[in-house]
Amino acid sequence: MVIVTGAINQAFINGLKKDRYFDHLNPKSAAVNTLYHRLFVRSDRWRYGDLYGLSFLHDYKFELEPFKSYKKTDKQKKATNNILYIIGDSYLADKTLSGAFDIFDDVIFLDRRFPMDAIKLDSTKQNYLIMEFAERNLNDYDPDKTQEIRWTRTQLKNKVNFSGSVNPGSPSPALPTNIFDRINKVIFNKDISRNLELLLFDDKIFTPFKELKATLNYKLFNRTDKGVAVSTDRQRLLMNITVDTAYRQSSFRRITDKELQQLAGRLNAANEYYLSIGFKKVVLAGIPNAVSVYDSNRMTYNRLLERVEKNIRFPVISIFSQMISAPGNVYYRSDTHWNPAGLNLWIAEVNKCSKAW
Amino acid sequence: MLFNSLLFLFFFLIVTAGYYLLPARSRWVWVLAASCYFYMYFRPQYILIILFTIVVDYVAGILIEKAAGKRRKIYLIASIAANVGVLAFYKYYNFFAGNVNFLLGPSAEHQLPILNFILPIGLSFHTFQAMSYTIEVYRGNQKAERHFGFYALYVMFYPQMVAGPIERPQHILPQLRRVSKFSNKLFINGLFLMSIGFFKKVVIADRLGLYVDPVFSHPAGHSALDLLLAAYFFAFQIYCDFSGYSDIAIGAGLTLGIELMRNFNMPYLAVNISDFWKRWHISLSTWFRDYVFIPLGGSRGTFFKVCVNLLVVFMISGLWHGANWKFLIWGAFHGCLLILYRVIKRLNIVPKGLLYLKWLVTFNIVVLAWVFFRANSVDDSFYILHKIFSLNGFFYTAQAVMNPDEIFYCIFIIAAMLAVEWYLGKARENSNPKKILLTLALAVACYFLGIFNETQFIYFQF
Repeated sequence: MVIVTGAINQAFINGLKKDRYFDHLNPKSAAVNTLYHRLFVRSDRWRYGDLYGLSFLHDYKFELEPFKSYKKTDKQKKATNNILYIIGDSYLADKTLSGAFDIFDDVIFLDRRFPMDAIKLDSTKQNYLIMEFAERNLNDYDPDKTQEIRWTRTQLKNKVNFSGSVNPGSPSPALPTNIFDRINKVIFNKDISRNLELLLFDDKIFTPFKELKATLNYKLFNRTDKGVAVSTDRQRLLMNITVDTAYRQSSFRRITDKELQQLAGRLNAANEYYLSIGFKKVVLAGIPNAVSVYDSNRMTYNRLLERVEKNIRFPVISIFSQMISAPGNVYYRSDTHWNPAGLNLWIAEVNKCSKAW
Repeated sequence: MLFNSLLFLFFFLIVTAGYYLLPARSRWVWVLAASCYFYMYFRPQYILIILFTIVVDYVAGILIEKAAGKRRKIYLIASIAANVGVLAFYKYYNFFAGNVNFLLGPSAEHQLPILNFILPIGLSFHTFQAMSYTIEVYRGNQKAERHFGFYALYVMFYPQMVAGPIERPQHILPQLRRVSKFSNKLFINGLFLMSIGFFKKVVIADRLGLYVDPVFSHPAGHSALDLLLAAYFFAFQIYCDFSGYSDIAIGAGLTLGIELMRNFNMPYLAVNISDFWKRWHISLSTWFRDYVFIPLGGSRGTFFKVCVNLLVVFMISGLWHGANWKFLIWGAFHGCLLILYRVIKRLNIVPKGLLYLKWLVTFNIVVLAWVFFRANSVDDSFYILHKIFSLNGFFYTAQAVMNPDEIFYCIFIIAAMLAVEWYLGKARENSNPKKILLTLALAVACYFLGIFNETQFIYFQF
């Protein structure tokens, strides 16, 4: 009954997921010895990469190298009067970047995956914006569907200037107003099964069983979790939606010139909107899908990033060719995202480009 | 709630434990509450629909019993009209409106509105079960149930309310009233049967679904061999899915000391089409036999009339499965096959013996008919059949859907299931420790070989 109650309590489950996600990133602390940690937090779902956590393929169980924390050093304390805003996704989320860039006093990251309220730009400073996209998310970009487009002039004036927080200005999720809807949401919570699995079978003692099952299915039938694909050279895991042409996010889905022009038009419109609310310069930074870098001969690569970069009317930070020619890995082999080398490469490119801004 | 979900496992444990811990006289409240939750988990507001039919049939049962003469029939008709009305509105209205609008043409001034709602889950099952109650009371085979709770539980008993077996009141109501003590044998038999059901569902049906679903969704992109294989695989997917559900339902009932009727009896071993319908979805076949075919005249009357009756019953049975022309064609096809069988039998030209040949012909005809049932549309089914029979491109092209190793594994596991099913059926007579071991072995197999994507049971949509 206690377990079921826990599974119904979505706030508890969300907290738990967060604790698990950050557990492997945190240095060993006193929290590790708590009963809560012992019972609920010890999980391998994130420790070896999100794609390993989906597939549990033992052959792709690699420790994730930690990211460097780019804190401001004393040397950087000289005010440049420039602030960098980044509206981005999981590639830059949870990273400390305040000291990463030479010409910026501060870096404010806005995570577009979560709700965010309007921000007020500091009019005494020069505000720059990087629109960071993973390649898979770029195709469906529509400024009319963003939260920023709904910021009103009054909101923009009244809101404070957030700084340093992971997700500035995020409003708390609204509860259903109707009492029946609230009860419904709790008692008939559609995620109970998933939550129960998370509570009961996500501890690392179950990992060997999950790995055995995954290995059986992979070795016998070449079948993995539907969220995961294995690269042609079998060296890494890839996110399946970036591979399978049935998905819009696929690097191999044919994109016509007309579609491309429409996308470029939407990006140009976004650029104009951001300039109109006070940004001095807007820059596009597309992060290639891992499959585009390591397995682009798998099918016919649609070259979305390169084509978009040629068709928009504002500056871009392009790292695709550098990633292809990088000597070592720039992406984790068991995770969707880049590794510290990939991030460093991007930061270096931002620093190089920003000198000309 | 899906049987193949972790939530169900907890639900089952809590309900079963609570059932035996509670005093006998309050157990019905517990199971009824659990059944309400089970049903409401799909869509809470639809409980009102089922509650409406429960109230109507409960009152109708008492009125039918008390009345005499024509009034009895009036009450029965009113009850059936209410049940069929609900079914017609929720299941058939959009089909009807769509066809009327099609006939009127897109430029017609008045078009019937197409309503946007989700079909209440298992509607056809519990409506048919409810109707069998009033009919049996009318026929005098069943006393009207005075206890509203027991009657509600008869309609809503959670193991079978959304996909059968469609029970009869004479069989279930006395069992619900009986105070059953915990029986080791029944309980272990129940768990054993449930594990067989889960095995059929997650190890076989859902694995076959990985091939069947994409191939039937894009028949034009597949060769004749791919489509033929998909047709055979679907025959076993639907069997394992539906009989798996029935096994779980019967097993869950047994753990509470309640025996539900058998719904399948190795249907693919049938040696003629009539035999097939005595083995497939037995509770529905017998429902149509008792409440539609016999009242229409059954096997009495001229040969022509019997044939017409058969065709009508099977076309209704086809439509029972879904509001779509493809189901109607599937039902009509089976009706025609039964008529053909009767003609052959009447002409006495069926050779004696040759059981293997008879089985082979029956099985292949049934597989052929499933194409109408599974294809996305009537056009698709004719396209698939045409492609299969044209033998155009008789090579395997669906490697991206399923690699040949997995295809062979599927064939092996189907063959093993057919071979072992007979043995497992007999294993119910085994000693308890043997059954416990088999149950555990099946559970382990389910975990390692099963597909856990919470795929809904195929028959839930009906």
